[in-house]
Amino acid sequence: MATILEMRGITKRFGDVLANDRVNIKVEKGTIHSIVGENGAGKTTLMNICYGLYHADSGEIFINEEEVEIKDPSAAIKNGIGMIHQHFKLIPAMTVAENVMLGNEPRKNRFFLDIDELNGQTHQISEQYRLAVDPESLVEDISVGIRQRVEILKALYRKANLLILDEPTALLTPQESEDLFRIINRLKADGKTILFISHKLKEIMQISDRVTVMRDGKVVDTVEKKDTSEVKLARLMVGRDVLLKTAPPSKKIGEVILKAENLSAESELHHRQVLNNVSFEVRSGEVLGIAGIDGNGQTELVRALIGLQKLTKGKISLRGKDITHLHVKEMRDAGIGVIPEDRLVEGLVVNFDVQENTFLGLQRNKPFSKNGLLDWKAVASNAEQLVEKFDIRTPNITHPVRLLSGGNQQKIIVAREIFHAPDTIIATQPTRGLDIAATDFVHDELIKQRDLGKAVLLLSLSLEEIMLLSTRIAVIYKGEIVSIVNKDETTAEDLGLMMLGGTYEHIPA
Amino acid sequence: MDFLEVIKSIFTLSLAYATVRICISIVFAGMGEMITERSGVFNMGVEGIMLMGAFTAAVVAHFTGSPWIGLLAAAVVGVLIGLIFAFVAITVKANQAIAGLAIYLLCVGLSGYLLQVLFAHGGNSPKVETLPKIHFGFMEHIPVIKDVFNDQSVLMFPALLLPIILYIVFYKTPWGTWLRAAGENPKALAVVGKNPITIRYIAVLAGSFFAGIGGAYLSISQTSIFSEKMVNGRGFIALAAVIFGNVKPAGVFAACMFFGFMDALQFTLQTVIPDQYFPREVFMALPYILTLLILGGFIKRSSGPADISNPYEKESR
Ligand SMILES: Nc1ncnc2c1ncn2[C@@H]1O[C@H](COP(=O)(O)OP(=O)(O)OP(=O)(O)O)[C@@H](O)[C@H]1O
Ligand SMILES: [Mg+2]
Repeated sequence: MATILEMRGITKRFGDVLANDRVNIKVEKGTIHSIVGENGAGKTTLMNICYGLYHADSGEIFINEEEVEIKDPSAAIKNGIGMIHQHFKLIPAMTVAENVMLGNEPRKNRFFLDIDELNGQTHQISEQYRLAVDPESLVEDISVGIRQRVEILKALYRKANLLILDEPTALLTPQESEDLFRIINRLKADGKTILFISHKLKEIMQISDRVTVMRDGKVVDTVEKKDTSEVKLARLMVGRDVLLKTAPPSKKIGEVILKAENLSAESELHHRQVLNNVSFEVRSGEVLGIAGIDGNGQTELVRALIGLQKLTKGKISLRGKDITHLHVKEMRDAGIGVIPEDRLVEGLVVNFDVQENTFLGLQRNKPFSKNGLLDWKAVASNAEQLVEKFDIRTPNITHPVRLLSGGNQQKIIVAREIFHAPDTIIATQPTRGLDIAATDFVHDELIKQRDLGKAVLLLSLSLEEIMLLSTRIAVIYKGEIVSIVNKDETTAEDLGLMMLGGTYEHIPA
Repeated sequence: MDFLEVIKSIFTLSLAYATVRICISIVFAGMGEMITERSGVFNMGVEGIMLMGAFTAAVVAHFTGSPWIGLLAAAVVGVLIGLIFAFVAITVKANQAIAGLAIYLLCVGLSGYLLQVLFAHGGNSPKVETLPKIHFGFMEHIPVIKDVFNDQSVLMFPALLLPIILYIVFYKTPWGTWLRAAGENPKALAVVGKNPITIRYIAVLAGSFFAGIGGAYLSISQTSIFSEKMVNGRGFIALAAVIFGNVKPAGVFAACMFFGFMDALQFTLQTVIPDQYFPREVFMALPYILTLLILGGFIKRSSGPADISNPYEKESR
C-alpha cells in the first residue's frame, strides 16, 4: 500500500515545553488512521505542523513519498491536505458558501464575485459528498454539527486527499457523531485518507484502521486496530491501567439543597417554549444526572439555574431560600459552582494566566481577599495545589491559559469550580475534551465532593457518563422532564428510548 | 426678528452647499478608516495623518506651485505614516489605541516643528494655489442642484463615488470578502492560505492614503492655507462616523454627511444669531457634543468586525 503522508523526526518546542519530540508517523493511503494521547501529548501540535500552521524545529515531511516543505497552509492545500480544527475556523457573519470558498472564490469578469457559482458549486459538492448544507444560510445560524460539515466541505472544495480531523466529535451529540462516521466512511470509500483525533476510545475502535499513540510529545506505538482494544490503548496512553468505573452508591443522602419548581421559559427569538414545568430536587450527597439529547433544554436549564435565563414561571431555591431572581454573582456567593458548557467563552479568560483563572469570580472571597486586597500568596498557593492535583500540564502558573492544550484548559475550570463550591456543583459536560485518565480523575473528584455532602447536578450528552456517576437520573425531552428514576432501576436502553421521546430518526447525512 | 424668518435664514441652500463642502474631508477620512477597521485594525491616528496631509499638501503646493503635486505628496506622506502605524500595530502588535494616539501626537509635533523651520512665522503657511472648482454649464439651469453641487472642489466627485466603489469592493469582489474575513476571524483566512497580515497592512495603507487626501483637501481646496489647528477634530469625528455608520459604506457616508451638516450649521448659527444673544462657543462645540451624545446612544448597538483591535499572532491558538 502507498504511503500518503510520512513525518520523520518532528521536534517542536514552545519555550520550555517540548510539544513534539522526534515524532515519526506513517499514514497509508485510503485508511482511517487515528491518533490518541493524553491532554497535552502534542497531537494538535503535530497536525498543525503538517498543515503549515506551525513550523517544526527539525524533521521532514513526505507526501506520496516525496519530501515537501510545508511552510504555510497554502503549501499544505497544494499538497492535498485539509484540516478540520479543534476550534472551528469559520466566519459566523458570512454564509456557508462564502466560508466554503473563502480565498478561492469563483469570479466573473476577473474582478467580481460570482455569487451564483459560489452558491451553485457549494450546493454541488455538498450533493456529491452527501453533506447536506444550505449554501446561503449564515454560519452563525447553523448548529455545531452542520458547521463541521462546512469545515469538511471547505477541505473537499480544495481537493484534499488527506483530511485531518482534530477532535471532531468533542462538540457533537452521539447522533451527530454517528452521522459524521458515516461521512468519514464514505470519504474513505472514495479513496480519501483520514487522520482522526479523539479521546473517545470507543469511537477510535469503531472507525480506525490503525492507531498511533502519543505520550509526552513522543510516539509510543502505532498499532493495527484488529490487534488492540480500548483497554490496551488506554494503557499505552497513560502507562497504567485506567478504566472508567461506576461510582459507588451514595453513602448518606441528606436534606434537599437545590430545588427547582415548575420552571418554564421561552426562547428570546421565537418565543418557543424551551422549558416546560421542570421540577426536581438535588439532595446533599447525591448526583442527579440530567440525560437528554442536545438541544432539549439543557442549556436553558443551566442558564436558568444560574440566573441568566428569564423564567416565565417557577421557583428555584437553595437550602429553602428563594434564589430565583438572584444575579449570577450572588448565586455563586450563595454557594453554587458552575462548570459551563462553552469553556472558551464562559469559563475562562484565555488571555489571563493559569493562577488568575484558578480563582476567577472568587476574587472577593476568602482566602483570596484580605482586607479588601488580593492576597497573591494565597492565589499562587491555591493555583500550585490545583495544578498539582489535577495534573494540569503547564510550564508554570503564570503561563497564559490560551497557550495550554484544549484538555488542560478544561481541567482549570473543573478544578476551580469543584473546589470552591460550598454547596452545589452544576457540572455541564465536565469531561468534554479530557483524556481518559483526566476523565477518570474528574469523575473521582465529583464523587468525593458528593460524599462530602455536596449536591451535584450533572448534565452530560454522554449517557455512559450519566450512568457511571448518577444516583438518580432525570430525562429531559423537549424542555420537559419526562421521568426521574433511580440509577439502579433503569438501563441504558430504557433511558435512550426516553431521551428520544420514544422515536428517533437519523438526520440524513 | 420673527421666528420663521430666523429659521428661513438658517436653512438655506448655502447651508446645503456648505454641508457638502465641509463633509468632503470627513468622507475621505471616514471611508479610509472604514477600510482599515473592516480588516480588524483600529487606527486612532487618522486625525494626525490628516494634519500631516494638510501640511504636506500646502508646503508642496507652495514650493512647486502645483496643488496637484501637493495632493499627490499628501497621499504619499499619508501612506508613509500609515506604514509606521501598521508596523507598530500589526507587526510589533502594540496596543492599537496607544499606537494610534502616538501617531497623532507625532504628527502634531512634526507638522508644528516643520512649519516653524520652513516659514518661521507662527501658525500658518503662506497662501497657496488651490485645486480647481468645477463649474458645469448645464447645471446652471437646474434649481437646487446648481446651488449645492456647482462650483464645488474637483475632489467632491471622488468623495461622492468612494462609498459606492467601496460598497462594490466590500460585497461584490473576492478582495472585499478577504478584507472582511481578516476583520472577523483572521485565522479562518490563514487556514485557507491567505495571509491576514498582508491584508491588514494593505487596509491600513489604503486608509491612510485617504486620510492624507482628506487632510490635503482642507489646505489646498476648502481653504488655501495651512494652519496648525485646521483639522480641528475632523479625524476623530471620522472615527465616530465609522462607528455610527456600523462600518458599512452607506451608513458611514450618511454619518459623515450628518457631521458635515452639523458643522455647517454651527457656522451659520454663528453668523445668523448675533453674539450678544448667545455665546458663539456653544455653537462651535455643537458638533462635538452631538458626536458624544450619539455615540453614547449608539455604540452599544453598533456591530463592527468581530476581531477589531486584536493583533494577529501566527503560531497562536
Ligand atoms: N502556540 C503555543 N504556544 C505555547 N505552547 C503551546 C502552543 N501550542 C501548544 N503548546 C503546548 O504544547 C503542548 C502540546 O499541546 P497540544 O495542543 O499539541 O496537545 P494535544 O495533544 O492536542 O492536547 P489536547 O488533547 O488537550 O487537545 C501543550 O503543553 C501546550 O501547552
Ligand atoms: Mg488538541
